[in-house]
Amino acid sequence: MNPSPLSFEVESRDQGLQALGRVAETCPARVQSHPERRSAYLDTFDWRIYRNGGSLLSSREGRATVLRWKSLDGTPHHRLRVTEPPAFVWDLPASPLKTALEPLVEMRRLMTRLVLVFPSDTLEVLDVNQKIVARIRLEAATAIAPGSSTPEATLPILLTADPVRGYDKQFRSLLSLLKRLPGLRPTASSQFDSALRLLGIEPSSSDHKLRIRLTPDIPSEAAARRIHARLLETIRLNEGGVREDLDTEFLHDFRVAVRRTRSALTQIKGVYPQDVTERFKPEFAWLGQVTGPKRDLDVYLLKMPEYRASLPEHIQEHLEPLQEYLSRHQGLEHRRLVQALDSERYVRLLQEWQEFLTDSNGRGSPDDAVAPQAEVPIGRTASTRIWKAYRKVLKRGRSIGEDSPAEPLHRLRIDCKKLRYLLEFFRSLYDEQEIGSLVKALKRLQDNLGDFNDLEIQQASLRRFADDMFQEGLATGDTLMAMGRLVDRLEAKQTEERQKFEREFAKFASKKNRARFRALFADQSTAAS
Amino acid sequence: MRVFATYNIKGGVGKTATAVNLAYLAARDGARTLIWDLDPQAAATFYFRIRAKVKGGAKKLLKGKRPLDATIRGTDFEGLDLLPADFTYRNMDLDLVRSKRPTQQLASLLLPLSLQYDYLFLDCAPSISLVSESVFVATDFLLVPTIPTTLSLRTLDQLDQYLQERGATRPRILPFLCMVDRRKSLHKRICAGGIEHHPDMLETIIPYSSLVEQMGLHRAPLAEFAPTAEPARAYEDLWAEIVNRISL
Repeated sequence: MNPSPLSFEVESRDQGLQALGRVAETCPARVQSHPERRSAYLDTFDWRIYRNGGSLLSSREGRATVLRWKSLDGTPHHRLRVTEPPAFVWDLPASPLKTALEPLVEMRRLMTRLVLVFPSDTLEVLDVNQKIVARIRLEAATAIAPGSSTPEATLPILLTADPVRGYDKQFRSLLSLLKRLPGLRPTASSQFDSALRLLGIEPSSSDHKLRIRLTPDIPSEAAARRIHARLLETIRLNEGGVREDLDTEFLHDFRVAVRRTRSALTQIKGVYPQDVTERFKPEFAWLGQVTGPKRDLDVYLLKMPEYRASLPEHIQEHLEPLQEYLSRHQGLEHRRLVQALDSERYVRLLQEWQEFLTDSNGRGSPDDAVAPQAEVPIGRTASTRIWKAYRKVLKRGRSIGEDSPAEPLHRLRIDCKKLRYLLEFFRSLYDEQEIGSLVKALKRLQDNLGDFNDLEIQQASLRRFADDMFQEGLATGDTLMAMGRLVDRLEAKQTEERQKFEREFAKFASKKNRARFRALFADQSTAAS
Repeated sequence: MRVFATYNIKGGVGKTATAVNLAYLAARDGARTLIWDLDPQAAATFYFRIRAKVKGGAKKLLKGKRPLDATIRGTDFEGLDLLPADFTYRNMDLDLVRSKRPTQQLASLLLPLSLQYDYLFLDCAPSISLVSESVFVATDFLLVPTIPTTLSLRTLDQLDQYLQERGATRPRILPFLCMVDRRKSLHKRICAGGIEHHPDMLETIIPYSSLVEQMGLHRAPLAEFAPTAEPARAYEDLWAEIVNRISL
């Protein structure tokens, strides 16, 4: 097939320029020089593109911006010329690049994660018709990571030979010439890799997973602190994006971390002194509450395209006032949320919580009594708590029949969530594959319960919005009718989800899964009690 | 892969300029683009400074003995490749007659390219022949540069009628007016009438300009040596209109 580009590392830019000069002596060639080029690597806050094995490079070319999506090994996939770098995938025009990025990036903002600044010299190797048959790029780049603690790094100077399709012979002789030149060392590492390494950025560890490494023998209190410390880190990491409203996922991840914090406080019972639990529980509940309204509006705005598409085309425009209403309220709720984050209460909460978690003594004051479960090895505590939570799910699930009202289903959803959090907190204590498959089974049930609940809340919210919009004089009859049709559709979908429940629960509560839960958790917990 | 062919029974109406400039713009937008210079006169190949030579000539290529893949050359522009012309293309008709399914042969040769490229532009020689028939079979959109004369519009009618009689849904015809001199009142009148008469006629008009002829001097697409000039802008508008039209 076609030859691939080959890179060499050189000691200095001068040495690289000398190499270009040597090549130019052997064949017709011309140099294109640029004193300062800039390329930006775009990715989401959680490095979704990188973690999927790619990089998205944005460079200014004339008045346009050119986006290039490559594999991490440098294989180009898509290129797209746009007028402005996109903030979100939905800003891109319909194109193969957009289609490919959409499922990875979703609603996350494309942020400049890394900037390369470099003088560039390109030697174009020509044939007798002044046609380019190969190129050699010399790039001495400095990498800048916006907002990083190591703001700048000088990258190795790279000399890269790029083939032109159909001119293999010329490329091969060029390579053999370059390989003979002194001081050129072939290299496989890309500028992107070098930049990440030198700046100490580790994109692969930035996903949602908790990644808390625990061993069964450490005391429960120490383990709980480790879990809480990791969650606090997530809260802090996302706060900036929440304040600036960069995208909806900062707040989402922030809220999940708050919820997990509360859940760990109540579910890992008796490991902290009572007064600590009692002091912080209501505070984190408050934090969940004040961040709720903004999240709700985010969710509805994210759903708008789906809402629109679910209606016949000729009435889709009637939902425009709803979009405006949601955007306006989202702005208001965001300001309220920022006020809460600026409040004394929030600042003190995080500060005191941090102090408690890092207090080497382990307790607020020396004369505090040791909590009853604090010294128990976490392996035992974990199994006991998971086993209990699991049995609760089974019991409640079995009591639900085809005619049961919605209420017990909502309770079951919450029970499942608690179980899920426990499984995630303690994942590292168990066989990865076993616990992984149980989480997967639970997730399926949770999806069903979650959709059922979600669809109910959506109907109620839309009714409330319609009422508000009517009061505020924002909605015409057409808009209210369109929203009514939406509610109808959501109701029908909710009924569908309800009908799936029995089957989904039976799958989760199957004999096989029960045996697995028992094997993993029951034996350890009964042995302890 | 979407296949365009620039086609007109008449010569000298700007077929090659259209194929070269539009393919360049498609590639500049980011599409993986290939242009196949089917004209033995090799004008498109010349514009890209590539040697008009295919090993084994049209015969081997059409028989599938030499894969198209091995003949493709990268132009100086990112994302734009060219399959060069060869003087043996003048006998392509005869080579096609000898193949088993003369009119399908070209289409089946293109099949392996469809994953490699988003757009293929076929730059055809002026004629109506077995080659044009094969091109029609392989093409999604027929770009027909039309000069504003009564005879040209008549030729367009004939082509329209011919395509209708073939009964196939493809290719769709995309005529547009080119080499228009706005100072000539006849041109103005015919432009207005042409658009009225042909509902498919694209709205963009390519003006007459010596710059288009200078492409041969610069051996480059217009946007490379006269990016802000009127004809370069006109081709940009034309490409935008085409992208819009074909996505409907």
